Amino acid sequence: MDNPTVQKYALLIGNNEFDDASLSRLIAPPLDIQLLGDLLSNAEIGGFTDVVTLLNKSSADVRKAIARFFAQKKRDDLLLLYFSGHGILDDNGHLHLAVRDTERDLLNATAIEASFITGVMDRSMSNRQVLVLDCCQSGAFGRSKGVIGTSVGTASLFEGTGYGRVVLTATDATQFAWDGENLIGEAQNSVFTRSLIQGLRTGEADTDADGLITLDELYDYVYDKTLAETPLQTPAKWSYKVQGTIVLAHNPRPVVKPAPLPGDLVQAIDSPLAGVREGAISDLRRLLQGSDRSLALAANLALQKLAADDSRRVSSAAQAALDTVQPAATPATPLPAAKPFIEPESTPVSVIPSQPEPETVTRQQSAKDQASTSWRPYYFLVSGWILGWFLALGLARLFDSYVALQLGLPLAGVVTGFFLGRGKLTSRLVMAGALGISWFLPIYLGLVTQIWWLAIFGIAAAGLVSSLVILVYPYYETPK
Amino acid sequence: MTTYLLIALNVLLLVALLAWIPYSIDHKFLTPRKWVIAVLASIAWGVGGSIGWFLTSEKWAELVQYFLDYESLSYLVESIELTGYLSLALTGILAALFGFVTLYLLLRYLPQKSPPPPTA
Repeated sequence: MDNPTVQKYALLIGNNEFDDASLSRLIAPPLDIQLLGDLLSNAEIGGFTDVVTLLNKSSADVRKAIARFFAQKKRDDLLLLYFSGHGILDDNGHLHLAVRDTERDLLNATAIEASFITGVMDRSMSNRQVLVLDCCQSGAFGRSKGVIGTSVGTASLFEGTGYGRVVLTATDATQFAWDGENLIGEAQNSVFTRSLIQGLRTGEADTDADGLITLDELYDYVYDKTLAETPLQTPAKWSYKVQGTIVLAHNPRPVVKPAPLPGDLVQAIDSPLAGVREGAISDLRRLLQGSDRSLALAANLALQKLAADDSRRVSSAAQAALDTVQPAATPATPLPAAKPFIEPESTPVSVIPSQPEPETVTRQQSAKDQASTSWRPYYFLVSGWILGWFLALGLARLFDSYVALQLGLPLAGVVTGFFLGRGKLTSRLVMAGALGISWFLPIYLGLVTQIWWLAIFGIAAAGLVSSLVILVYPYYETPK
Repeated sequence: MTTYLLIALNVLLLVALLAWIPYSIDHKFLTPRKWVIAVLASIAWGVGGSIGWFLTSEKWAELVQYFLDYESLSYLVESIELTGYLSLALTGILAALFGFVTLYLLLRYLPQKSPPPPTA
């Protein structure tokens, strides 16, 4: 994939001015090759070792440069040849790339024939060759053959015998026809290259958000953008015996995907016990401040979820963590508008698999403590309820009195409530009163009336109050 | 008279709790989900209590005697006819068992919110 030892070379050729007056002047090529060259040579984005740009050079110079570019390269070197200008089909249907001194009547001698490029690429040792053609295709002698929309046959033109070759074109069809000495057809600015530059510069072409822009990703991005802007161009791609993925650039503004959180932390976040969920917040806060953007994003999302938690204590703590911590990563947001010059704003970050945190033992211990704390109302209520019955039965046997029996359970309720309500005295008294009264009702109603539904009515009321005490307990718990 | 007063007290307690629902939600003491859990748990208390009441009643003893008409099981039938105190205690403990287990299960498995939409 993205091997740092592999060298990357680019040759960018642009032609917008022509000696032959019949070849119309183009606007886009100078800016296209300048911007693309800056992007590719930028260490934060393209990281190309050597980027050469040729603007409005003669056919001899261009031929020499192309031949030199593909010669003496290593097997794994990535070679990118980009051409922006006119593409002209001769009377035999052979494609030529027009340069400054190209004459329409002498294409074989004055233009760069596609077969020349194919031959040079075939002879190159590199098996990672990328050819990008942003040409306004046309037939050279179109009175009889040069119909707009005719395929120029790119697929077979550049296939050659080489290995590992990819050809991208702005279009495979002719867009212009000749009417006497003039081109007819609607001229388009270089939508293809503009999309290509935008995809690299903004990182939008990094569709899988892994921090790397592959050739396939870039093509898919350019294809969609170009079609959205103009119906006259349909970008095309051909791959010849390509093995593996060609990484063209880094995303300068990586949109990081949330990494999976450690398993025990996920369990703590999803725990039904508020104390355990609260215990997870400190770990999430640490991840949020960490250098791993993927984990930070995952922690951010988890904290947002906990901020809407049922438990007031948990939601407050989660919100506080979100408010106080400056996140290292935030959820994906639309990128700002593209700037005219290439100035990467951040260091590209590759998404790395999440690693277990070194403080796992501490976190597990913390979660265990939190769990035991949150079981507190259960322990108290179940124990109080059972002991209350034993107390009632014991008192009744001791004093042989109904009154003693009736007092046992509510007494246990008062004691349970008082010890359960931590913090303010009022919370203790509220819980003691609620449990005392509600636990008094079932036994009294059952004993006095001996009517089963009244006894059950009282039991249900006791159950409701007891359940509410457990559920409201986190609110009364003293903040740590 | 005392019985009616107690029934009224019980009703009053329930009405007060119901009246507290909007206040408790507004002030985040409790949430609608927790109220649902509490009501379901109290119903479980009632169910458990009913079962306990029935199991310790004479009707249950008669039922057992009807289906298990064996001399050797007569001791079992007699033992089920419990004294009033113990009968009530078992009823209450069974009710609490049902209630607390239900409460735990609801807290554990009743989803808190609908799952969030997938992130980009």
